[in-house]
Order: sequence, then structure tokens, then C-alpha cells
Amino acid sequence: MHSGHGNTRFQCPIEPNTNLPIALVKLPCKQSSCETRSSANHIPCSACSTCHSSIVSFSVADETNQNITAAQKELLLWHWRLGHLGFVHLQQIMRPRPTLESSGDAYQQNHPIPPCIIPRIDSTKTCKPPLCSSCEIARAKRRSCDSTVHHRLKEYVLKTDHLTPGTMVSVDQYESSVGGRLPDTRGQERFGVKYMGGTIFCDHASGYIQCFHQVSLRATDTVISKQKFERIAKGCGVQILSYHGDNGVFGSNEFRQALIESDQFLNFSGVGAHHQNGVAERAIRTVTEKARAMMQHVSTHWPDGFEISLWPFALHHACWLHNHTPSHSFGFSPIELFCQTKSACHHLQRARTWGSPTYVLDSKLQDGKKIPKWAPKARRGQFLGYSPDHSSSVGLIRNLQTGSISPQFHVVFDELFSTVLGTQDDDPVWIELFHNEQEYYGPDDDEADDLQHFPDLDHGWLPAHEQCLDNTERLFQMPNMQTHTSADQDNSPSFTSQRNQEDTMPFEPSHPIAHNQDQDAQPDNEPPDISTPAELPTVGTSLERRLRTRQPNSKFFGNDWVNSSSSSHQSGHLFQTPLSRTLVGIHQPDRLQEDQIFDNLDWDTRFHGEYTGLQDINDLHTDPATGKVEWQHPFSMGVKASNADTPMLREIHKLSPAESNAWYDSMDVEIAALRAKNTMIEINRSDVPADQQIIKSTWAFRRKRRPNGDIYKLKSRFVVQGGLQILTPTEQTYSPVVDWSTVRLLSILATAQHLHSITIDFTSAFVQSTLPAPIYLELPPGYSVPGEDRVFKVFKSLYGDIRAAKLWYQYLCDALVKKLGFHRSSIDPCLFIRHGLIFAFYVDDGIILSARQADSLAFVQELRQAGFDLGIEADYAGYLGVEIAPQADGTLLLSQSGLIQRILNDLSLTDATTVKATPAHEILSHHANSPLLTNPSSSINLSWENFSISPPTLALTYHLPITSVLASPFIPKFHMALLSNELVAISWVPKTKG
Amino acid sequence: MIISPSKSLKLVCYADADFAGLFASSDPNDPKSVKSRSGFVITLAGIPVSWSSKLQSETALSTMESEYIALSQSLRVLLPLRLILKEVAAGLNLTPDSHSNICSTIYEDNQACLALATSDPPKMTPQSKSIAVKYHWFREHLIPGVIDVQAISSEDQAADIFTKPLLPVVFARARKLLLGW
Repeated sequence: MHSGHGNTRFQCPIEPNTNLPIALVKLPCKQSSCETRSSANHIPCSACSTCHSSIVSFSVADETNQNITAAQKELLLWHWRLGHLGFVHLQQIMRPRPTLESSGDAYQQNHPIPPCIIPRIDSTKTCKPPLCSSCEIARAKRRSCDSTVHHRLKEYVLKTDHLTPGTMVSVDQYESSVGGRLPDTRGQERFGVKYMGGTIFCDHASGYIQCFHQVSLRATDTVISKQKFERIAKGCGVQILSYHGDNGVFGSNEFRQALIESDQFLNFSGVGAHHQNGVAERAIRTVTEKARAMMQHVSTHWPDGFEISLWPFALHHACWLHNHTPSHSFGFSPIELFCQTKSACHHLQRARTWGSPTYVLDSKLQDGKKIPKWAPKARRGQFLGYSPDHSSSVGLIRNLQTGSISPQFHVVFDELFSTVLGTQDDDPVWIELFHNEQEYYGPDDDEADDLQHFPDLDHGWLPAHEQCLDNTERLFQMPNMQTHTSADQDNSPSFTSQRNQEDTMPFEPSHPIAHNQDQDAQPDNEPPDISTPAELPTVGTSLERRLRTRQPNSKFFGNDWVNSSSSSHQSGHLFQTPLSRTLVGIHQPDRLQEDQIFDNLDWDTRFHGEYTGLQDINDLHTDPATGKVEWQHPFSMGVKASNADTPMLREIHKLSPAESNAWYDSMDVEIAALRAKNTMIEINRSDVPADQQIIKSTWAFRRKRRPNGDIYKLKSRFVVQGGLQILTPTEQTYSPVVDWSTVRLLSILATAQHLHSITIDFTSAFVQSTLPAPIYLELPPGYSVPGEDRVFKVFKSLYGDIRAAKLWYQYLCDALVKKLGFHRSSIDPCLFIRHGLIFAFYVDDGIILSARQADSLAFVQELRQAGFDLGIEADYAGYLGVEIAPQADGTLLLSQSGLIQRILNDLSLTDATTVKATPAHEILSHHANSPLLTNPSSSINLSWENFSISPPTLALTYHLPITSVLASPFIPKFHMALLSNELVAISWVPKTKG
Repeated sequence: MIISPSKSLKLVCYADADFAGLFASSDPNDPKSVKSRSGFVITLAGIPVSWSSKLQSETALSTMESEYIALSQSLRVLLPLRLILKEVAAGLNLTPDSHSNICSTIYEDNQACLALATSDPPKMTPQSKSIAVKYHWFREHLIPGVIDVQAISSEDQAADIFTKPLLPVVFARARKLLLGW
């Protein structure tokens, strides 16, 4: 810093609330004022030299600030450096440290341990502490009402119970809804590989805190963090003897195994009793508060240099500061106690304000080489704490241009942020992050992959006919709904009904949920047959005891579901159907509260809270005028549209009871089908060989639709979480599928040459191929065996197994070539030819082409004899999902009306009469009044993009002959595709320019 | 889409290109603005099998060159399709049209490009490697009577629709060629 003159002073008005100077906005560029300021500042202020800059702000600790004294300024500076340490604590560090033996030892009395930090101005130790705006913003909490807190220090008692470092270490996990960047990736990583949280370790005896960021909070990553911690502890000569954690991931097999291997002990806090893990929870609070204050400080003083994804560095630096700061009570820092070594506080004296601008010497000059005379000798960077891997004086500096983070030694710090532009307003990033106080609660371990899932499909995205129908009415579009019901009656599973418990669940009637209201409003519309008492089997007449009782996990049962079911129960008739009784009790109160918060969020804020997750698919298009984020990217529409038919288990629980019960039945059917085929057996967890991985399993749901959009089947599939699978290097996963142009070629041949075609569907195709070695699976979510710890031993390949497709292809290919006399096409690996017969398959859907029908049917018979389980579906039209209608004049009309309708609905172009048989440009002009299409400059730029439609229908792009260029930064692009005689899609991509 | 398939087993390919078509409408400072777009459609028995509309990866220096790139791209799709068709036809005992081979025709509406592709001796010495590779590769595969390149008027060029915005009348005509309505 420059030393102040003190003679010429520049009075800067101070904003009373934040204690920040009010920025001088748009000073008229008078030479005099410039001179005054530059002489006062003595700072190489770029803003001053160009005077055109709109905002100039000063640091509170700047020499020119008259509102606080020089001593207070120094105190403030140290406060910033030490991660916004409390002022009382800070001043204590500046005084000589008390020693425990001082009472008896004369030498000690005469030679007290020197203070950790020696301030330049003596009165800094004693001056009245100023306020720090960052602390006030970042750490504010409720004031306790009229009570004072007395800190009673027990004399000479520093610690009880655990006196040696390593005896007991508390562990816990923290999560962040905002992904944190990795140190070595220049901040360019995808969302899925950012830091989403981590594990914190806190040693009881010393208070030593270490945190390790993790990309996922799964057991594997947590064990790696544990190993890292133990390596660091070993460096200090500390052996970790036992851990204390809450349940969650620390109860997982993998973590327990790691403990057993290193001969350690673990005890848990009670289920739901987070307070029993108080040490770790407190440690999280300590470091996050420090980190938040530091980040807030940067965001206020240097908005351009602030990125929220830098939180891992802030957190790491906060841990570092905590470990090196001498304690309040007895003057030793946690790291001194942990390593049992006395240090001279060099580390702390070197501490610099986190996030401050730094000036790094040019790399050539660092190496002692020369650079051109007029070239800049340094570049600006940002200080992000000290490198854990280098010498303790080497800081991590972020390159502002490239985003790379490198350890640098030749660095000049600008801790007062005097060379960068600040702001006096609250930073918009922070406002955006904290304005609604609603945090995103991460998924539980069972659903760890939820991290990358997208918001539920909003009601508005449903097709119009689904929107206007009630959920249950929608169900009746499914033809086989009734058979589901009867199937359930045949089984008559005896589920223990815990409806009473559900009724006693505490709910807040003051928060009605929209979904719930719908349920209440609609029950009269229910068709009477489902609620007819004659169809209800009586409660409690169990024909046979089921092996597994379905035990729905409460975390999947959002409160609005419970709420709706309980309220409907009160209202009467519908929900006492046998289907609804398949749902039983609610457990796990520990998750309940979080879920309650999550589920009670209204749609908008929830969407807002998760939007970072969508950044990958959504180019965030921000409207420059309103600052609002546009969500209308076509790909995000695709995501939402497809999500409608692939619900999550969590979403299924929230559907109307009739529909969700239909899903539960399909789950039962799936498990029963797999067991019937001897795919898997249940064994005790203890019977699994020690070297075998137990892979998690989950559900994949799908509503199957006909080409016209009607639902005809609800399909639940029990799948392996293949992403967690560990393969040997020799195992491969690639499997080919038939090329669509081949399929089109075949279908054209079939039509042109009047060939006979049938399509077949291999039922549970993957399951038909046998695994080279059995694998072990956890039971699927929602199923459990009471009182026993069981896993599945699987002999055949299941869906989700990453080798499944390859194994299936190999199995089918072998059978075709070796047993059935086919030869494989040299071009398309999924096309098989034998005399008079063509067979192509796309994973489990096959198409057979032959001159005579008898040949095709004979081939199907051959396949069945070869051990394949398959069904005949239709001709190739069904294969392609196209309706083929012969016309009177001998031609054929191909169309996909269901798809067209869905796209039109998704694009809110529901004015069907206009759309049908209307040239595209007329539709455009028809919709020209919609706000999305109107543009101030009223001209349209059309660009070439293909909108892909499933083959063989031909997607053509059609554009209006208007090709003028916009001057406005907001260029809508129209993408159109034409399909048969109807317009398929118009989509727009608002794009910001430059 | 209304189709009325013919009995013939002829693969017909229409290839076209729009030379530097983005230039007027996008940022002239962006190198992309001078790229050409190639479009082609391959039909079997008069029905589209495969089609494409892609911005070319390299910058063509003339209309002829861009058309040539489009020709080369279409041939890359045409050749495997021919082989598959041959295999399938052999498997099903379908008699190909006239010859023992299944013949294919590529229609091209640019005379300069046509001359370049077919003339013997060759008219052009490829100046750059990117063109040379396409040039020689393409010429190697042209077998008279099996894979022919023939001229077509721009009006009948079905692939026109894949390359640039068309006037409504022209668009309707091209759509009629492809979709039958």
C-alpha cells in the first residue's frame, strides 16, 4: 500500500448503513477534481487517469477515509486477512499470549510467548473495533431477545474426554447447491463434475478442521476424502483412532470397510439426532461463515473478480485460517495442538485477504529472462488462498483471462482492492443467491444421481388434453388399466396399512398445495366403477404372506402426496380402493423436515433454485432489457417433453393414488417377471464374496404411447445403476444398432416390392443373455425385507448394466449366425441376411422381411426354439411409429399425428384449425402478434437449422424469404420443420449477440 | 407424406450446394459466414431414404467447388446404401432393373462441376489437399453405367430445398418432388 500524506484529505461521504463510502457516480470531468483526488490517493488509480469511469469506490481502510482511525483501519485489514475473525479475538492475538505454567515459572513470566501478530500501530490492540460490512451482510442472524450470553471459561480446563489428537474425529458432509470449480480445470467443467459438497473432519482434542471437496457425496468419494485426511494426519504424526459421524454415507458398507481395513472405530449419532454430531456441525458452521464473509467481501469490493463457483477455495482457505489462528482461550492454534509442535505464527503473519487482486510477475521475468522494454511486466490475478501442495508461502493465483489457477511466488497483493472497481450496491449475484433463503436440499444417497435431474414437468407443459383431464381420468385412457386392478386382486397382497399414522402426521393447513386442491376439487368427477365398494377386497384378509413387504421410503413420499391422500381419505370414497392401500407407513423423520421444505416451495422458486443444473443444456439467454433468463431453448423443451413420460419414483408417489398404484403394480410385475425367469435370487448380504461389488439398483419408468399419443402401457423397469459399475479392463460396452437409413431402405423395399414384413419385440431382451459371472445388487428403492439385510444375486444381464447391450448383441448375433444360418451384412452390423429372409434389429425390436408370410412366421418359430422370448407386434409401420394409410388413388399417406400434436402443444400453438393444412408462413403471420415473435425492429432473421424428427418421415426446413439482419441484440431464429402435410414445429432461439 | 413407390430398384441421388449462403445474413467477421451448405437426398424407388443438410466443414472458393464437395459427401452415403441394397436384394432374390448391377444416378445441376467430375482427361488440377482428396476419391468411384453423374435442371433439383431458403412457389415444387404433395 501507499503511505498516506495526511495533509490533503479527500472527504468521501459514507453511507451510514454499510459503512461504505458512497460511490462518486459520474463525476463531471473537471480537471480540478481529478487533481485533488489523485494527489490525495497516491494510488495508481486507473479510474482517475481516465475519469470517464462511471463508478469509483474506495476501500473503507483507505487512508482517505476519515470515519475510522488509522488503528481501526489496521485492525480492519487484519480482520479481512484472517478470514473476518472476530475483533475481540483478533485483538487478543495481538497481545502476548498467556501461558499455562506462568504462575510458577519465573522464566516463563519474564519471557511470555510473543504475540502472534504485531500491529504497526500500538493502539490497534486496544482500539474500539469498527464494523465490517461484509461480516454484517454475511453473518447476520436473529438477535436473541433481551438475554446476554455469558462465556464461562472453566479455569485450567481446556478439554475433557479426548485429550490426544486423533483419539476422536468427528466427520460430516456439507453440500452446496452451486457447483464449485475444480482447481485444475480452468473452471470449464460440466455441471456434473463440479464440486457439489464434501466431507469435513474435525479433531476433538485440537479443534483441527480439514475439509475435502467432492464431486459426489457417495461412499467412494467419501472414503477417498478419509484417506486424504489420514495422510495429512500422518504427516503431523497423528494416528486416527476413531470417528464419530451421523448415519448417511458413513453407515455405508464401503465406509465401514475402509474403517475396518485401517483398524478404526466408528460411532454414530442417533438417527435424526444431528445435534449429537455437534462438533462437526459446528466446524461446518465455523468455516462456512468465514468463507461466506470472505466471498461477500470480494463480491462487494471487486464484482468483476467474483465468481460464486470459487467457494471451494474460500472454504479451504477458511479451514487453513482456522487451523492457524491461536485459540481464544489458551493461545495455541489448532494445528499446533494437532501436530503438537510450537510454531512462530509465520503462516498467519503471511495471510493475505482472500480474493484480493494480485499482480503476478511475468513468467519470463520470473525465470530471470528478459522481455521487451515496453511490455507489461506483470498481469493481474486473484489470490485464492495458499497452495496445499507447495511451500507455505506460495499462493494460488487465478488467472483472470484463462481461469487457470497456478501456484505463484512473485506476487504483489492489493489487499485494499484499491486498483479495481468496487460497487456500493449489493452484488446482484448475492441477491440472486440469497434473496429467497431457500436452499436446495440434495438428494439422499439412494438417489445420488438426482443431482443432475431437471425440474418436474410443469403442468403447463402437458399436452392440452392431458391438462384438462384430471390425473385419474388420464389413467382411463390406458386400455389395460382395469386388468391391472384385477391382477392386484388376484394377488391380494397383505400390506400392513398404516393409514392411521398418515392421518396423524402433522401438517400445516395454512399451506395448501395446488395439487392437493385439485384433488379435493375433483373427486366427484371420478368414474364410479373404481370406487365401487363391491370391488374392494376387505382390509386384512391376507391370502398369503408376501415375501417382501413394500415399505415405501418416506423420503419419496412428499408431503403433498401424503397430504392429498389423507385429505381425500377424510373426504370419503375414492381412496379407500385396494390400490391405495399398497402404500404404507411413513418413517425416517430425519428427512421429513427437509422434504417438507422442498415440497412446499412454490414452483417458481424451486425452478429458480435449480436452474444451475440446467445450465448445461440451456444456453442461458438473458434478456438484456429485463435481465430475465429465457427458458425457451428448444432443447430444454425436449428435456421437459420427454420427462413427462419418464417420471421419477418421487414423482410417481405424488400422482393421483389410482395412477401411482398402477405404477406400483407394474413394479411388482417387473420384479415377479425377473424372478420367474430365474434372473436373480435373494441372498443375505453376508453371503456376498468380499471382493464383489454390490451395485445399487433403481427404477426406470416409462409411459408408452401409441403414434397418436395415447398411453397404452406403464412400464417399470428394474435397472442396475451402471454408472457405479467397475469393469475389468477387458470388458467392453459398445454395441451397434441398426442404421435408420437401413430401416428406411427396408421399409421402402417392402412397400415397393410388396414384400411381407413383421416386427418382433424380444421381451426383456437384455435379461435373456447370461452374464459371464454373477453380480450383486441392492434391493430396489421401495422394497425391503423387514429385519433382514438382503441383496440380489443376479445371473443374467439386467437393464442398466453397462455391458448389457453388448452381451445381448453378442448373444443374438451368435444365435443368428451359428444356429440359424444367417450372415451379417458387411455394412450394417445389425442387418442379417439369409436366403429369402432379411432380419434387422434395433436392440430388442426386430424387423423381418420376406417374400412370403410363411417364411417370416417360420423364422419367428425358429427363434423361439432357439430360446428367445419374443412377441410379434405388427408390420414395419409400428416399428417406425408411423401411421400408414392407403389412399384411394393407390398412394400411401404417412403421418405421425400424435408427435405433431405434442410438438404443437409444447410450443403452445394449440390453435389447431389454423395449424392444419396451412402454409408455414401464414402460421407465422398468424402468430406474429405473440410477444415472442414481435420484435421492436420487426424484422426476422432466419437461419438454417435442422429439426430432427424420427425417421422415416422427412423433416424439411422451411424458411420465409425474409432475410434481413437485425440491429437489435435480440435475434429470434425460427426453426421449422415440415412433416407430411402438417407443420411440425416452429421454435425460436432468442440469442444474445456479442 | 404421400408415396407411390415405383418398381425400380434404382438409387437416385440429388446433390446441391449453396455457395457461401450465410454471408448476407450473419456476422461477416465470423469465418462461418462464408461456408457453403451442401444438401443431398437419396431416393429409392422414388422415396427418400437418406438426406442431409450440412454446413460444409471447409470453405469452398467457388460455386463449383462447393457443389463438388456436396457431390463427394453424397457419394459417401450412397456407396454404403448401394452395398446394403445389393446384399438385401440378393437375399430376397429381387431382380435388379436391367443390369446385373444395381445402378445409381447422381443428379447435379452445376455444369462446371459436372464437367469436372466426368471429363476425361481431367480438367482441373487440384490445388489444395482438401479438394484433392475429395476430387480423386470421387472420381475413382464413378463407373459408367453403374454410378453416373447426370445433369439436371435446377427446377427439378430435389435437393435444392436442403440448401437455402426458397420462395414459396419453388418450395412447394421441391416439396412435391420429395413428399408427393
